[in-house]
Amino acid sequence: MVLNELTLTKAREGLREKKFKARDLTEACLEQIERSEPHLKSFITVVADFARKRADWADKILQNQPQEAKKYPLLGIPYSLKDLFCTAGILTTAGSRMLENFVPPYNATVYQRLEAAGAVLLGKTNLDAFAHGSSTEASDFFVTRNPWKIEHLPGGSSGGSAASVVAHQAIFSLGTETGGSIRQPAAWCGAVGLKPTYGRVSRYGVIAMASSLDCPGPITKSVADAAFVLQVIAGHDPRDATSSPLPRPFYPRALKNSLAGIKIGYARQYLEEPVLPAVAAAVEETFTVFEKLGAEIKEIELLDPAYAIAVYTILQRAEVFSNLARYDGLRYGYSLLRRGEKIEAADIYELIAANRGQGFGAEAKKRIMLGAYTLAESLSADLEEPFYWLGQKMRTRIVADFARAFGEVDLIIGPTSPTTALKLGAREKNPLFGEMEDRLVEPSTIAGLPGISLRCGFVDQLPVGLQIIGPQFKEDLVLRAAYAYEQATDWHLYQPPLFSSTRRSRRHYRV
Amino acid sequence: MTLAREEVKKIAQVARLKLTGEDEERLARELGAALDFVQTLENEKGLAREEPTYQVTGLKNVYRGDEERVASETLTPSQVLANAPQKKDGYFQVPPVLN
Repeated sequence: MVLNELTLTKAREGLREKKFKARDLTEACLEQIERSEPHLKSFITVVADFARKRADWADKILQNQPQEAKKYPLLGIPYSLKDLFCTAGILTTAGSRMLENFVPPYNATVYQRLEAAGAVLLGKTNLDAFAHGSSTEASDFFVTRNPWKIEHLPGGSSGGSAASVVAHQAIFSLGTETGGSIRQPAAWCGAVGLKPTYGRVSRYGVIAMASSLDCPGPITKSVADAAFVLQVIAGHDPRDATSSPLPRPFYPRALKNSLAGIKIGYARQYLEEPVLPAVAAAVEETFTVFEKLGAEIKEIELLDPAYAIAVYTILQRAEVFSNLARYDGLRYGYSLLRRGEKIEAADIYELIAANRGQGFGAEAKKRIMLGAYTLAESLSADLEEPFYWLGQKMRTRIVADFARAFGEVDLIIGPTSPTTALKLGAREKNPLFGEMEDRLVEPSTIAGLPGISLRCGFVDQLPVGLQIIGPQFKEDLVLRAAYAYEQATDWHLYQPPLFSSTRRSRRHYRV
Repeated sequence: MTLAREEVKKIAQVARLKLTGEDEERLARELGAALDFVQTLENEKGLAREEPTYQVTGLKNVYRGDEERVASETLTPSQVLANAPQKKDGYFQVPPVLN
């Protein structure tokens, strides 16, 4: 048994049955990190000593207090956390030069819940700076590689999280999604990525990108693992006024092997150009699996995803402009004064502009600038109203479009990404790279819907992601369909040869 | 479209960003490309009359109870100042706001 290759579900069982210690499990992950990091580069910070202490604490409880151990659903399970979640006393960079030295004085609610559940933090994973991107190429530090082919990208922005799970550096990870940042890297790396309903999981202490869209969620090795992690992190948080007060069901109970009576819709445009034919074919092959499970597959109409990209581009940039206004380099963050540079700032505003001009990377600057333009009437004077309003109005139509579709079907499926993982450098070539890559996930994020991505095949040894979208707060139904599909197929058993002990002789990708 | 250099400068001022000449040139080009894209919404029929959606799950006016906060929930001055580039006598130190 190679401990770091266990799923969360299996690792929990093993710990409770005392087959191995939490410390062994943590050491196995730390060893894998040490072995693989030079090639993979998924972590910005590794907290090995902190993890060892936590694991030893977990072992004490597991060995001596079996009753007490039941109070900690994730006791002794090592995980990685996207470096966008504030962790008190532990460097939190958002992948940005602006926050390269930032040590937060408080914890994100999600991190606090994972700690309270007994999980063991291994480190903080790489991302596109401030989560602005779909590849980790916009990280201000370095690019993470895809565990299946290391000259390919992991996707993003939660690329480090997805890579760390698939390469068995961590048992599970937490990412965040604004428009694809959980599902798209999960698809490219072949992990399970669940983006919950907006407000199902607290945003408190998550470095804000677009506050009307941001949502934390699990990236895991299996659907059951995702259900389990969601159970721990979901629920109302008085510190996030937009978190939902609705009660949460017990998600692991939703996992069933039958989809009898479930209607699943798909839209033609989600399978056509620019979606690669091989990707579309892999997704279409899932239809017969779902039918065998008892579901009914039905073609439906959905708005052209191009609308969603336009809306997303406007709203996200506008909210970025507002959220990133707080980085002035005066109270924390990149500061010319701290760096001892001689500044000729006549007043505080000149200093702020100078700090921001140097502290922000090219992508952040572009988004802030576009956000300013879409919000300010003074800048877009020739328009009847700023783009921001048009975006919010079009959002109403997208919400209504999904509401109509969910009158006809229970779930909607399609490819997560139009392509499999692209090669390094892909982003450079196309200024609208993210918009094109995330075109199939942006419509549902704009409507606040939950969605999951899981493997449904391989093309040229790279995984293909299937996404399943449900109505708001129907994570249980989304998980049920994903679980039934996963259990009926064997895609989840394939392992990346470079980062797992199962070599070509056994389970290997289908070419 | 490509934005005029002057326009880029105006936006940078609103956004409090000191840009280099290289930045300005790149942004004029890239912002233009993004704007071409979002402009498709301008031609959308009847959109001006649609109600905007700000909050997708329908929450409205969420308040907390009028209760005293626990003191341990607040940060100490040293925690607050821990990341400050310049501080003095328990305050952040900055250049003049009004000159």
